[in-house]
Order: sequence, then structure tokens, then C-alpha cells
Amino acid sequence: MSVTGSASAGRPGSRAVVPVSVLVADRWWAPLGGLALVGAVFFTMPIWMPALGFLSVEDGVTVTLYTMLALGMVLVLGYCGQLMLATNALFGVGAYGLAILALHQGLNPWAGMAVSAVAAGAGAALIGVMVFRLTGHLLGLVTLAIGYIAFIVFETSPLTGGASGIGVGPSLSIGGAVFSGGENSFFYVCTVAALISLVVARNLVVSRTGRALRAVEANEAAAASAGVNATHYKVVAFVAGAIIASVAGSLYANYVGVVGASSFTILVTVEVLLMAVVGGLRSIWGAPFGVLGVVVFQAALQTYGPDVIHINSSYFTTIGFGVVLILVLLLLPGGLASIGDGLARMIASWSPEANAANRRISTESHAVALQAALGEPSTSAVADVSAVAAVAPGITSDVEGEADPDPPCLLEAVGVTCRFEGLTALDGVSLELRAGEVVGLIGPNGAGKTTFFNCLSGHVQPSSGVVRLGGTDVTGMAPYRIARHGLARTFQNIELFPDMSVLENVMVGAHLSAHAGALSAIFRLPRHWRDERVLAQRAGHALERVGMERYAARAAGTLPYGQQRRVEIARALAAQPHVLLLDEPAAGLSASEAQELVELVRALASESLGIVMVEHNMRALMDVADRVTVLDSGRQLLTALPDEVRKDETVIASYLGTSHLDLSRASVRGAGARPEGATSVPEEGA
Amino acid sequence: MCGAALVRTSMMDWMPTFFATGIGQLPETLASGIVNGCIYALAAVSLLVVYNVTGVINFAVGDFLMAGAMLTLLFAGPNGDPHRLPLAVAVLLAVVIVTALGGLLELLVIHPRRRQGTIFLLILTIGISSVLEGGALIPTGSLTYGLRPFTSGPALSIAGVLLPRQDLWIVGSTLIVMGLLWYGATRTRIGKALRACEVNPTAARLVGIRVDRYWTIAFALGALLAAFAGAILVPVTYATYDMGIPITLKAFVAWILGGAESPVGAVAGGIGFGVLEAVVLGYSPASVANYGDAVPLLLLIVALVIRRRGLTRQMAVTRV
Repeated sequence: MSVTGSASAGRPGSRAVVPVSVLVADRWWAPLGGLALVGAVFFTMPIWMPALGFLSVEDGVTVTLYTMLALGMVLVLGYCGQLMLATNALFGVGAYGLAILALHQGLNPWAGMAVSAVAAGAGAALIGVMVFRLTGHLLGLVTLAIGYIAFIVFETSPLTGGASGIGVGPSLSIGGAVFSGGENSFFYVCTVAALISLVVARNLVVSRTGRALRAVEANEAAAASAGVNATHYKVVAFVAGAIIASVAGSLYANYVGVVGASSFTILVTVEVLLMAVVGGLRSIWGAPFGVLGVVVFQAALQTYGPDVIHINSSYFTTIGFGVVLILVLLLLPGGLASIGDGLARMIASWSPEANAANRRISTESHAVALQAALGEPSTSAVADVSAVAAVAPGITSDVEGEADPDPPCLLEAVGVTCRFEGLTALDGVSLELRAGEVVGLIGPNGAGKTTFFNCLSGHVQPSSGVVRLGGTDVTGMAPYRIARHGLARTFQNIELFPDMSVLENVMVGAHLSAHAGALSAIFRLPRHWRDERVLAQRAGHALERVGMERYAARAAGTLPYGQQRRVEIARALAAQPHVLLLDEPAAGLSASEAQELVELVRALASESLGIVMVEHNMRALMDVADRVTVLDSGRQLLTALPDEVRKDETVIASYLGTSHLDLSRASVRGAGARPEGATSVPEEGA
Repeated sequence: MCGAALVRTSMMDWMPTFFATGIGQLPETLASGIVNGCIYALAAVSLLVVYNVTGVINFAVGDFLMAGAMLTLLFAGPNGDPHRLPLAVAVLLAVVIVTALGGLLELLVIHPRRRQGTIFLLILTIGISSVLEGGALIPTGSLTYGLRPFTSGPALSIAGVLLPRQDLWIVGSTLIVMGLLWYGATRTRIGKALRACEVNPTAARLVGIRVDRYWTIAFALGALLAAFAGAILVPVTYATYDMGIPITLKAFVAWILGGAESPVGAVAGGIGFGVLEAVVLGYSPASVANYGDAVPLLLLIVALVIRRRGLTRQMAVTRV
């Protein structure tokens, strides 16, 4: 672990050494390959579909429109982990919106489509803000109920023409070219719309916004501690999906000419869910193939089914869908996309040497790029102190640097109490942390150390007491807001985003140092590229500080335990916090790794960070801590210098053990060894 | 286009009982609300049993109910069919078959993936729901079927309130089933083990309870409750292959309304929702009442979102 690197180089304005494309493996033309493949399949549908005998161009329109719906499902469920089952409602808003606006307002169909899309987006935002507080499966049923209500309204309301439906009015047209439903030209309009939707979804996913979405999906608590406002990103995904679904609905209205409620039943939602699952929930490029697969399957079933069993062919569809949904989930949970990945790997493995070389090069280029990006002079100490001054006004007038005799108070907890249904996990714990100071937090398992951290970081609401960060009262604030006040943390049970690369994990940590939003990502505005570069460089520096830059391209979940700890620390550092909470950072580290950790913590403290550290490795802790606070059963036994704590009778009795205290012997047993009296039962940390 | 959506009949085919009996006085409205509420209560308890033991929301609960109704119809047959079985046998057979089906589907579909997240499992139950619906659709088509009441005769008048006989059957048998369930949960080995699984699966495993096996039992029990609800419901409504999803949604709302924790809460939530539905639809102007299910569901979603005390704390806590 290097202690000379800087956690704060790479801030906006610093020189771009390496193009971001090398770091994040993304270039403006990257989606073109997938687009060409899907485009080739889609544009030729009028040729190959009729040739199959049981499909027609109409099925081609279905494929393109349902691709758009499935993309919304992939964005919201696959990438963001939110089961939103109101697809039929959004589809219907686009269709009825176009029809009603044309009928009652005489609006041009393009304008009708745009207005409907805005309405669907706004409605989605409203619903999203209201329901995203609900957790996963509850959300699914509530949104399904919303879809069901929407269907009943479509079927009943006079505005939507009730059961008989509503006529659409003039077809879409550009200049003199009219794209009416029955013609091939309209099919191409739909195909273009589907391909644009694909690019939009793909660009959204491969960006700062996309990383935030995936982080929320993987671990909402950890994402929040990096400053990611989960609700915001869920709403972004939902609104994007809603707009795409609404446009698909408008196109559908143009296609059928008369919009009837039977096209917007809950079954549409279930069908779209099935298609997204078949394509692969985590795959944008899988979606069109999932849709294609289901449509072909359905048509084949309806055409050839009656030859086998002589019953109305359409009756097979429902059971067929159910069986396929179950079989895909059981046998191929990654969907068709995982077959695609497998094929790509297989093709690559045909030439093992080239493959190995490729892999080496790609890993190395990551590392080389990082090295280049990191080769910048360190100015961090000064920068950090001035940053502290920015968050802690009023107490920073005398901040001059490291040698400050009275450094500013960064974090202050007063009488923090936390009760869980009768159990008092914390009882009036107080703590004061100054810039450049390391406070150790020790105590037996169940003492409330992790709960205290959770109260500080906002993951648990204290029952009473006050937490101030740089003078601001943050008591009871949401974790993502507390993160914005300069607090970063690690977790006792490592909470990384396992499917994301190490670099991406740490880039999520640096989330707040950039601002590019969904629109920059979708349209690939300069701001997107600039922010990607900033984030990648900042993440690179953080990785270098913990000595993990060589593993930047690895999936975080594949790393061994000790390395995952380091990545988690890097993620916290990438946020350039003023206060850092480390929850058992040395657990699972070897003795030499623990020593490196101690050095890292010292170096960070010398840069005016304030650090609170829960640690069972007494040697590491006592080495590095300026003061130690001892908790027992939620109460604060004492706060004192490490030497005093070592000698304190009550501490020895409650935590360090009643036998003759021999810290040197205790630490000889290994860096991860726990003191006597402490068992290996996991702490009750909420 | 839009695939199978076109073959669907409207879900509005399924109407609560009070539409059949007509909108009457307040006591009758309340009574019909309680009767519907009993059905919702049984379905909500079914959801609860499965959720508490497995953590899965069983989206197919309404379809198990539909299966119970359809099989009861099949065995009891329309009036005048010489081959029909005695009613009691038909109900028993239907319930037993659906119970076995619930356990079997759990073993085949849920069990292999039980370590996956709840959303994954919920999607699997959506698959089960489609299979059950499709399975009912193929033999029955989109036709609707009804059954005679369990006992014939005019409506009984109790304290001046006219009550159809089947309504009394529904309320009475719901009470009996709930009583049996309470007895089973507190007095029998299986019941105690099930509750152990729900309180603390790890500890249950440590004392030798095979928690995985109780997943199957929970699904079977859930299917049993739903099938029974379907069997007693079918004389007062029409059974269609797609009656399940609206019932699932209402059972879900009832479950949440009752606090999502205890069977007593689920029953209270079910009856509360039934009464709310009856009163809202019974006393709304026709222009509102036309929206049927949408009205009470919308009210409840709004209530849930504004004030979600009904949701359990354990589900809302983000674990770190």
C-alpha cells in the first residue's frame, strides 16, 4: 500500500493524462456493434418472417414495440432491481394519449406522441416518488395493482371510449410521407424507434447514472453511503422506461387505428416481464432477442399447436408463457444474453493463446492507464484542509495545516441513544473527532459499535441524541445526505457491489465528485465524458492508495476477502471524505497487510481526515489511535488515551479479558486474532 | 397484435357478490362486505402463511383459489348432471388436489431456486400463476361457470337482515377453518415447526427442523386455504379462468392492511377490505361505481403510500 499517493488529485480541472476510454472501456462507437446486429435482424424481418410461414410483418411491428417495453423492464428491474409491473398502464397512456389528443385537441400525432410521453414520464415520476419507499416485492404488487386500475379505467372511462375504444385520427407523417399502420413504411418507423431506444438505454446504463443504478440494485445501503440517492436513480430509470413505453404505445395506436382496452391488460405486463426474462434481465442487448424469441414461440404455438391438440389455438398461449417463464428462470436465469456471452467466450477460446494475450493486455492496459493517470504531484494535505474549511465554517479561522494546535471538530456525537423494541443498543454515547485525529472504538461483540456507526452514517435513526458533521446537525438525515456532508464509511461485513468491476465500485464511491446526469449520459454530452474521466482518475488514485490498482478490471465479488476490504476502503476514500468510519478494516488482513493499513490510516490522518475505527486487532488499533472509546452493552465505559485504556480495570473486565493482559501475545496469534472473551459470533449490527 | 391479450375476456366478469344480490340497505351491504371479506381473509392468510415461512409473496394465490373453484365445479357438476359427486366429496377432492398441486409446484419450481432473492421467487410465482390460468383455460375456455348454493332455500332473515344461505356457509366455514388453523398452529407439531421456521429459520434448523421441507408444507397449506375459499365462493359468483389476479391483488391489499404480520391481522384486513369495497361501491354514484375494483384498490394504494404503518417494520428496515 502506498502512502504517498494522493486521494484528491484528479479533481475537476486536473490534467487529463489518459483518455477515459482506456479506463472505462467505453467509446462513443461502442454500441454500434450491438446496434448493427439488432438492426440487421430487425430490418430484415419483412423478408424472413413471411418466409417462416407462420409470421407476418405485423409480428415484426409487435417485436419492435415490445422491444421498447422490454427495455423499460430491463432498466427498472434488471439494472435497478425494482419490480415495477405497470408496463401496461404506461403503454396505454402513450396509445390513449395520442388518440385523445388528436380527437379532442386536433393535435398533430407527433405532438400527441410527445405530450403523451411527457405525461407518462411525469406520471411515472409521481408514482415512483410515492411507491419507491416500498421494498421489492411489495412494490411489485402495488404497481401491478396500479396497472390493473389503469386497465379498468381504460375500459370504463368515457374519455377512452370505454369498451369500444377510440379512433386515432390521422397517421404519423413526415412531409408528404404518411406512415399508416398497414404499410411497411410504418414498420421501419417502429424499427428506428426501437433501435433509438436501445441506444438510449445502453448509454444510460453505461454511465455515472448507470453505475448508480447498479449500485442501488446490488446494495442500497452501501450505495447510499457513497452519496447515491437511491430514490432519485430509481425514478430516473422508471421515467426513462416510462417514456420509452409511452412512445411505443403511441406508435401502437397509430398502428391499430382504434385503441381498445383489451390491448392493455395486466397480461401485457406479464408478457413483457417474460420477454425481458427470456432476453436476460441484466442485458440491454438481450431484450430484442427475448422479445423475438417469445413472439416466434407464440406464433409457432398458435399455428402448430392445434395440429397436436385440437383446441382453440389461442388457449395455449397463457400456459405456454408460464411454462417458458418458469423454465428460463430455472434453467437459464441469465436468459438468451448468457448464451450470447457463452458463445463469445467459446469463440474466443478457439484460440487460447490469443485469448490469454488479450486478457493480459486488457488487464495491463487498465493498470498502465492507472499508473499514467496517477502520476500527478500530490497536493492533497492543503487541499483537504481547505475543503474542511469549506464544510466547517466558523471553526476554521485558524486552520493552517497539519501542525494546527487546535484542529477543527469534524464530527460530534452527543448522547446518541438507540433502542430497538425494548433493547437499548446504544445508551448516551458521545464522541468528538477533530481533523487529523484517529479515534478507536472497541468493545465486546454486541457492545453497539456498529450500531453507533450506523447512527453516525444515517443507516439507523438514533432514538435521541445529536450528531453534527462540521457544525451541521445531521441527526436522522438519510445516509446519502450525510455522505454529502463529507462522511464516508466501510462496513463490517464487506458491502461491495459484487458484479461490478473494482474500478466501477470505487467510481461509485467518487459519485459525488461529478454531476453528469441521465441526459448527459443518454446523449453522450461532453460533460459525460469529462465526468467519467474525473471519476475514473479519482477512483484510480483511491485504488492506488490501497494498492489495488492492478485489479481495477476484476469483478469485485471475485476478489479474496482481504482485497475486498481494501477495495471498500478505496471506495470510501474516493469520496474524499472529511470523516472516515472504518468498521473492522483489519479483519481478514495478514499481519503485514494490517501494518500497511496502519500506515495508510496514519497518512490519511496527516492529511487532516478525521477517522473513527472499530477494530478487534488491538495492536493495530492501539498503534494508530489517538484516543480510544470503549463501549459495553451500549454504554460508553470511557474515552481515553490508548495507554490508559490498556490499564483500565473496567475495560479489562468487560472486554480485554480478566486474565493477565498481554497484548503482545494476543497480537502474535495473528493480525486477525480477537482478544479473549470475544467470540466469533457475528455482531448484532443492524 | 399484443399477443394473447386479445383472447382475454374482461377481468370485470368477476363481480363481488353484492352485485348479484343487488344494492340494498346498509345492513345488507355490510353483510355482503363481510362475506366477500371472508374470501379475501382466507386468501390473505394464505399469502401470510407462505410469506412468513418462505419470504415469498405467492402471486399465484388467486389462481389456487380459481383452481379450487374450477375443480369443485368439475366434480359437483352442473345441476342435473347424473354423474356428479356429492357436494362435500367434490369440495374435499378439489381442496386435496389443489393442496397437493401447491406442494408439488413448490417442489418443482420454487425449491430449486429458493436461495435466490425474493423478487426472483415472486417472478417464479407469476409463472405458476400463468400455468394455472392456462391450465384452466384449455379445458374451460373463456366461459363462465356457476354452482348451486350448498343448501337450497330462500334467504334467511336474521335480525331483520336478509342473508342468502351460501353467505352463511361462507362466513361459518371461514370461522371454522380459521379456528382449525389456530389450533394447528399452536397445538400440533407441524404447526409449531412452521411457526419456528417463521420466527427464526436458523434456530429452527439448529433444533432439527428441516426448514426446506416446511417451504413445501407452507405452499401446500397456502394452496389449501385458497382452494377452500374458491370452493365456498363458487356458488355465489361465476368462476372464470382469469378470476385469480384480481383476487390476488385484493388479498395482498388485505394482507398489508392487516399489518402483514399476524393471521388475526390478515383476517381483519380481509374483512375490512370487503366492507370498504361494499360500502364504497354500494354508495358511490354509478359513474364511480362503474369502475368496480379500481375504486377500493385505488383508495387503498393511496392510503398505503401516504401512511404505510400497515407494512411491517422488519420489511422496511434496511439491513447493513
